Amino acid sequence: MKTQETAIFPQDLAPFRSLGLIITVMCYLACLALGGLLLAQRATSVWINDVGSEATILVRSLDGDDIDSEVAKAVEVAKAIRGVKTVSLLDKTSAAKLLEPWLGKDVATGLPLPRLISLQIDADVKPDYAALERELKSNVKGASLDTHQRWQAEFANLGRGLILLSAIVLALITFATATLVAFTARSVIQANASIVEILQLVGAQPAFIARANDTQFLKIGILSSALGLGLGLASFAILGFLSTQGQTGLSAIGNTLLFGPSYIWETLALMVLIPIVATLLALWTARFTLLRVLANPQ
Amino acid sequence: MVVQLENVSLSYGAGREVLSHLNLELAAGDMRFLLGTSGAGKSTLLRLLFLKLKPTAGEALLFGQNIAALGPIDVASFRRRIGVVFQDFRLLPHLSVFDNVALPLRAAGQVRAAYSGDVNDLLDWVGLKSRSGDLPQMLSGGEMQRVAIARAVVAKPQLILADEPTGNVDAAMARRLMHLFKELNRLGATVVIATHDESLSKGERSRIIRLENGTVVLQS
Repeated sequence: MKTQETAIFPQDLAPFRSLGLIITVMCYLACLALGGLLLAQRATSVWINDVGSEATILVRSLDGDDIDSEVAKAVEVAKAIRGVKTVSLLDKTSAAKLLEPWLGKDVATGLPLPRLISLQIDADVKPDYAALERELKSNVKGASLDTHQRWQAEFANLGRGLILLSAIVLALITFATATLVAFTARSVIQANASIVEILQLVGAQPAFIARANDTQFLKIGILSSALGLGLGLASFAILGFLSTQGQTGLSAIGNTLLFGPSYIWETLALMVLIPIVATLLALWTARFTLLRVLANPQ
Repeated sequence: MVVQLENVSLSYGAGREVLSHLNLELAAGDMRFLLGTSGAGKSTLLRLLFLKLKPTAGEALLFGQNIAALGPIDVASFRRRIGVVFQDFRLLPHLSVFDNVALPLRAAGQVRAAYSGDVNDLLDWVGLKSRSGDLPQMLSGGEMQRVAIARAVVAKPQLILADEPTGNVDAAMARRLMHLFKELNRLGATVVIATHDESLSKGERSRIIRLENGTVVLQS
């Protein structure tokens, strides 16, 4: 004996097919936008940490001063500051190499370049930069300190901007999907007006009629959003592969930030939320719209 | 009283009154033939009784409740106490005979295991048990109307309204359908049959309500 209920509404309707396609595209775009958001957020965080873990002392050559002795004093001052892990002096050749791409080899090595002292900062103990600056000023002629704070602020701003942009794109995708689901739900009711009328005549409550479409919206939501996610992940995989072949792609750092060992599970967990959210969005929006349409039976 | 209409008028928009100062009372267990020419207001009166329309004037009580005051949820609940049969059957073409008949029970929240026996018994009663898996388009007009009657009565309604139920069937089937309605009435339901076919009410003089221009001109 048959035990399952037959679907009250026809399952193969044009509005449902269009909705499936739309949800797939929207989930694909959401996947890309979320990937962009994660990339922006993680890259910014890595850059800020990198830049913040270093500071630089610049010692300029002033007339008549022995720059090497000033550099040695600066190294001593820096070493005495708590929170400075290592102090390394960039020799003249290395400093000249930094400028070579812009000035050429001959000019760069011939210039009286300032000497650079790189300080590695302890991640747990932030140095007292003001004290370091005071000490340098009073003990070392021509010395100045660059804590990279301006770069940190720039990166933070850039990161916040990219995250906001990605979040706006995700919000717009959500809004557009909800609107299209609502439109589809109305189309389904219009296409099945005679069925709705009969259901109302036999005493079906609006909630029953709305629920009668749940299975279809649920099925379309799950299948289409999973397909969109699959296509999105495939796109990232292709971009990652292209970058390993020297083509335009995600770049090695992009690959690592999305699918590297430290990030892959978080990335996948967040990506899997896309079909879940899309399915629930389709289900709830459809039910809400149908209930509104059916609120005033004729 | 199952139905109590007092000075009820109904018009579509600003047009002429389709029902005009109509008075009508139907008690539990009544059976009435609603007669009148086309445009007399029979279908409109039935639409009012199955809560598709509301009166524009007067007071219409159904099971003691003023229908003008019913909200959407109440309307659905009230309709479970009413069974409606149409001339054009209004069956769902993609559902089997069984599923069409079971529709009011599903709408009332029953599961298949609970209603399966009742639906099969009813299909047996209307002589269609062997066709329970067929789709409506595989049936004759008379068979479709019997399915529609089975659907109308499956939830054991107190009031059965039939709008030209014999309009699309031959004379022999019309007699058989009328027998079904009388049987339902004998079992306790109030039955109202709107028809322009005066022959259906032959020998039923005491049960006739005649409408003309939207008002009752004869009530036995």
